Amino acid sequence: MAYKQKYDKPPITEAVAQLRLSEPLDDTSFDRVKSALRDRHNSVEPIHQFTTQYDLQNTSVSNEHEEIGCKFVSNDGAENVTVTKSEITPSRLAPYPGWERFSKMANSYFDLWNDASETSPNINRIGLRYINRIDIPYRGNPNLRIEDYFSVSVNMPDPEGTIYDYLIRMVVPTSKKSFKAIIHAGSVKPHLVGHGSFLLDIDIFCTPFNGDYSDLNDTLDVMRGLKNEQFESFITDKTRELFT
Amino acid sequence: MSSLTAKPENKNSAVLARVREPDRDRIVCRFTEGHGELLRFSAGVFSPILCPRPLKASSSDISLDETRISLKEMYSKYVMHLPREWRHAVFERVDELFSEDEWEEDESQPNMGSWETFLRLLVFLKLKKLPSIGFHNGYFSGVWVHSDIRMTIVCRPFDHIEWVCSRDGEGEREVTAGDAPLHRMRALLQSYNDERWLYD
Repeated sequence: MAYKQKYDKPPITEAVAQLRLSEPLDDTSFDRVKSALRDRHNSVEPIHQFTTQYDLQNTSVSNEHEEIGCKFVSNDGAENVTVTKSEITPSRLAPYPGWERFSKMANSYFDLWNDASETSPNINRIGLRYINRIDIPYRGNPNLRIEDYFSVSVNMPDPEGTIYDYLIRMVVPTSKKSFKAIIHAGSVKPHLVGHGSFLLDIDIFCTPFNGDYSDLNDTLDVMRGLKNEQFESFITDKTRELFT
Repeated sequence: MSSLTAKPENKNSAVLARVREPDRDRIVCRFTEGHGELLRFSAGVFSPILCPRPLKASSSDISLDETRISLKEMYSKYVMHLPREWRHAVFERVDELFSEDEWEEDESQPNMGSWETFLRLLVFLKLKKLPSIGFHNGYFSGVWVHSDIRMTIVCRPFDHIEWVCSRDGEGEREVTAGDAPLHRMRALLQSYNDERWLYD
């Protein structure tokens, strides 16, 4: 199925790529990664993990806290990369600069991560996630029919029943066997006056990843195609009109 | 493992929660600050909910760097509905307002609710021209000046708007002021011949 892939006003609020390792980086490699990223960013935020364990047999609770990584943010706040010893997650907020620039940005972080590692990282999972917020004008009618804009909807006992809020999560196959998609579709807080806002969050992932680092670029290209297929399959022409 | 998003508990961060059940007698909850995703844990069911990025609340210990970045991150939520060329101008103004050189120690930190109302106003009015962006006592305002008219719209949180309009004519100055919810602004501004100065 052929789709128009480039919209004038894409509803992408955030694009995220992620690599996850089967074995975490050692301390020396991780310090090298952080140091290299620090050179490229002014703003660094530590990431803390708080763990609470409830032991139901002995009715005890224990708490732990550790700094597990950092988030580096660009000056315009639009580009950031989060790193822990086992994950690297570059992300780009709107305005989406297009696939060429986004993948170049993500790959530059992955390369930096790869170069700083003592040994070539053993990739366990690759993820490519696009979070879309679709703002739909009420145009005088405060009741939006979900099925006019999305191909996935909610079946109510009363077909004309009102829904104030909904969220659907599904894991679905894609047209390539090794990749699956996690989809979140639902309503969100309206961002504009006189509009309803809807989430279409598409997370394409591959795990376990059987290739090596040199296959990464091609794999991301394939995932981007799958993401587009999923996106187009979940929206209608009425929705497409909103992006042009 | 599942993940979901919620409102941040602390002053400037969302919480990423990961919940694991390694065995039936022990439940481990992990909450991670930072990248905005997390989950709702209810009656043994993990349901992911959506993920707005964290809003940085006003607080005196937030650096100007963080302030600038938070304001720009908020802009990204509306950028697809605003003229492309505005982004650069708005970011320049934000950098200017919250630069080390311009910032006064006793100035209030920006109220993010005010900034969000300001951005919603820009989208709602479908303006062709970006107003001058003002900042005072934590609140943002838009200022339009056109020959004999000067309109200042101050944005408060939760779509609350206050405006002051001064008009010069025949040697006299007339000043009117009021407040209203954002969704009423288009109708209210029409009485000030807004076509002349708002959309010119």
